Amino acid sequence: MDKLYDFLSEKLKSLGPVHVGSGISAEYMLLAFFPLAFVALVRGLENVTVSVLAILVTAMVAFSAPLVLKVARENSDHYNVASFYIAIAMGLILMIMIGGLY
Amino acid sequence: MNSELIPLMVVFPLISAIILNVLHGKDKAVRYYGTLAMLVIIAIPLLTVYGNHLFGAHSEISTSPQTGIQIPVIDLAIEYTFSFLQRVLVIILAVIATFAVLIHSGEKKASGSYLSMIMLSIAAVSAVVMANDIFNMFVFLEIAAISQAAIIITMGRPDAYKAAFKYLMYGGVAGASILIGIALLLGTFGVLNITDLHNAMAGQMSNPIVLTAIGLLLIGWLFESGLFPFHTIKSNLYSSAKPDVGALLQTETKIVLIAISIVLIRLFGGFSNMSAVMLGLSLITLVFGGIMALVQKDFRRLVAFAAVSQAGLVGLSMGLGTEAGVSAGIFHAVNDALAMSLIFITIYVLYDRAKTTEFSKLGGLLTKAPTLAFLQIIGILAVSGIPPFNAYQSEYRIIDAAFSSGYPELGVIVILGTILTFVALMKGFYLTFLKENVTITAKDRIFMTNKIPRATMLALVILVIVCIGIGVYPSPFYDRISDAAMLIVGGW
Amino acid sequence: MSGDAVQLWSFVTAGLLVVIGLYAIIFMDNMIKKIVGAMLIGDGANLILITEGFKPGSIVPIISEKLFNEGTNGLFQSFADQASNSLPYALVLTNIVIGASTLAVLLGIAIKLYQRYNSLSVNEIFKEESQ
Repeated sequence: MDKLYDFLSEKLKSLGPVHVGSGISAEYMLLAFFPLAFVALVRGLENVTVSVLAILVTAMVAFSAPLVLKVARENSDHYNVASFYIAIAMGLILMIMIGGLY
Repeated sequence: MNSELIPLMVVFPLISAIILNVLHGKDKAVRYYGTLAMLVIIAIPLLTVYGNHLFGAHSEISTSPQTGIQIPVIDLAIEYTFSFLQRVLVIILAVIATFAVLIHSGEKKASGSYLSMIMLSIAAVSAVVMANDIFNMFVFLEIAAISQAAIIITMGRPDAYKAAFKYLMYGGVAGASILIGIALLLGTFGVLNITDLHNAMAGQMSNPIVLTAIGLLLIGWLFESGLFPFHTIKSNLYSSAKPDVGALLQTETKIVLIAISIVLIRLFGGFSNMSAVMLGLSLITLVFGGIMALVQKDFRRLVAFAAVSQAGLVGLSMGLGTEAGVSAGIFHAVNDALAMSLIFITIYVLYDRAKTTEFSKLGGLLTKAPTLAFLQIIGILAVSGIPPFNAYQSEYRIIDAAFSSGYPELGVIVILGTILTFVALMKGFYLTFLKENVTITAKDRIFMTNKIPRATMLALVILVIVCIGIGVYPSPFYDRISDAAMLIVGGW
Repeated sequence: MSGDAVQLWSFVTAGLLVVIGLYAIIFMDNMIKKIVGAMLIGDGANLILITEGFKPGSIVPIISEKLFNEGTNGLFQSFADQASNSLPYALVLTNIVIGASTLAVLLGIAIKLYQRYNSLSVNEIFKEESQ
């Protein structure tokens, strides 16, 4: 457990000395969110398939450890980063509305 | 039968905006008129009788007697409705705007143009809430966007200009998106009144023009509510403003979120793709807003992201589309606007004294300002859904609605998101008040006193009383919101 | 050009305006070009509205005295058949005013940012935010 904490705190040092704990909490939140969101998205398949895929998603999030830094960088309010996600979101919404979800 | 006081809720703030702009520079006149105008703006919705108001033209007639023209039975007028829901939303907007105006009037210099922009935003959001005409709603949404950008520009700092630039650029895109959606609906059905559109749209859900219009209106809704992908722009807006008017801005955002969601649900109610998109994007906002709040190094930005995250929670509840979901969402928007305003105003006091809200420069202020710390912890408990405060009642109902709509995983994510908000806000409180900051140099030391100005103290005490009151007795409030939600989802 | 073709190609032009405006907002570096892009999107929306009010071979929707005298005997049928829809034009006028206000505020902000940073490049002005 100590080694895990040391590993995470080494990676999260760029947040600043007092913010490592919140970085780890955010990491746990992402670990909980992705499988649940995946289960909410994929509702057509059988239970066993969905569970196995959800465990895979959890493992993927766990092994790309400091995901929080990447999330924070992508959610910054720099004009170009925001434009990218706005353009993608607009395209996706129109596609889902006209083309249907499944 | 026209209810005559309804247009006054929009017209009086507009006229006050012009008068305050003229009075700019005369401190005393601005202060007195601002306070007086806000008292009138609170009084008008209390005195107005429920009903509709039709602007211009004529109400439904079938045959014109003089010319014999057969006129179809639709309202050729712009209609405003006023019922319990509108009264609650307008009063809450007026109360929180009053706090912002009073706090500004208590400062050294009172700026007339700043207060006039606040009045303009009040007029615009009141009109958005009341309008039963989709184009009128769009016009006032654009006015609200311009006035909100103007409010933060009066801060005069470069990052405020940058935030306003981004906000207006994407406001232009989202506004054009709403307008094209309205144009498509107008071209297909020929009417702009929301009730008439709802009646005309029965069975038209597979029409590709209507589907495109839904998508475009959704994009506009996302911007106005500050949901993903516009969440960073809205949080930038809140954090660039002075925190007392940041409280007003986040209240306006939540009220506009509710108003546009109600229009979308009334028009396109049972459409599952729309619900799915609303749910998905609100969920992303809820979680990513909370995560971004956790990694911030500045208290104002932390609270701004927490406000955005809570807007995601309201959007999620509205996106469920059921009667329980819609009523819980409206209730949570009201509760959260009040509780978040409490936190924003305490941060205003902090910012006013310490001139900074960065964690690296703050620390150990509990001994110097215990009253402020106490009020802030009440605000944090109120936002996080801890009984006996108001957000507990609404969050419990949101989770209940999520579980009964057949989305149990959403209920779990809501619980996690709420915990995330609580952790983020407590982190801010700890770093500001509890932890001794050993890295502050002598020249950065803050002089903090326990004295809170009278107007600010009044605002804080009123908010605490209302938060506890709604938390302990939600029924008189919630039951009538639930009735209004039943009418909305039932298709009126 | 027949009336239907006019309407079709007007819609296509409006769509082109919107797409070009979006391209300018997302990809161009100069602040003024982005502002022009935002105005182009508004213009595209206005053109869509105007084109909706168009009817091939229509007359102006104002009742002249001759038409009124004709119509009081019948039901204004010829007027109702031939007049174009006047509602979208009112909406367009309102939207032009909104666009002008937004343009004024955006240009004011651009002036202030230029005075502060001495540059119109968005990459340079927003540089310190990409932390």
